[in-house]
Amino acid sequence: MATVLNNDQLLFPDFLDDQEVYQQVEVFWRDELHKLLQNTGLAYHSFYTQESGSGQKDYSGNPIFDAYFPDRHKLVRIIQYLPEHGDLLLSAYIDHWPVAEMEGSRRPQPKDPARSLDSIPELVIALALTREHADAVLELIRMWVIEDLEEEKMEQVLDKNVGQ
Amino acid sequence: MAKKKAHRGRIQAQGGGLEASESWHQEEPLTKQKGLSLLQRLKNRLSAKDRELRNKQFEDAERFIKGVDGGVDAPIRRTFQNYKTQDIRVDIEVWSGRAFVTIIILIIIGLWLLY
Repeated sequence: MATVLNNDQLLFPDFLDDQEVYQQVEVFWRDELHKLLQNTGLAYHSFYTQESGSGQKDYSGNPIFDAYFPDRHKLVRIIQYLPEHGDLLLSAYIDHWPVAEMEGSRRPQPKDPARSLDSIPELVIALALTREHADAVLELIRMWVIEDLEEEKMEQVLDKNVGQ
Repeated sequence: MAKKKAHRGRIQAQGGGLEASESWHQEEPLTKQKGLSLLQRLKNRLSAKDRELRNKQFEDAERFIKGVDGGVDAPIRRTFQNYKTQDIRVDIEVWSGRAFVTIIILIIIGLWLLY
């Protein structure tokens, strides 16, 4: 993705300074996911703890959105940041979450119970939010979750299309 | 009966072909002090080049641990990425239990469990 960005292209540029704007960005991602998954029958829920032990919510954009998909036993995590000079504007990779290390009561419930202890493959996306990048991210999520691409194929897609 | 080691997680330096980590698995929640020491231990293990690529990310991870208020409960994953690269990063993962508590909180939890 291009490393030059016109400031006008950034959506919600104040999201790290204004908690109201931050919440608008959270709604933005939820709405976009809702539209993407409409008519697919695929459900998701957030996976990571959002607040500290004192109830303090994190407003760092790290992550701004995360979702676990029980039908696929896959995760998506989106990290949003304000780019500095020379930063990539969109990057992505596959990581894993070790379910077997979790407390039994906190483990997610995949649709296929045989996979309940399998580590969860996670599509991690970091971006500076523009409409163009949001569309690119949604296309990656479509391939990862709706098309259900295997990790190896998804890695090939990321190598070919992201961070060039 | 032996106490259950319910608190576990990992701090990891990844990307660019590197995968190095420091993990914990213990009976009590991980303190901030121990978390910072694991972070430093991980940093010390890296080559000068790998450390250089993640300097700011180690600083961000340290700021995160220091700034946690009241500990964090699993599952938590924070990625501190070098955005000039595709995947060079430092990850903090809390897999189960609680982490980054202050020693005072740890004492309060201990007393609460006792009574």
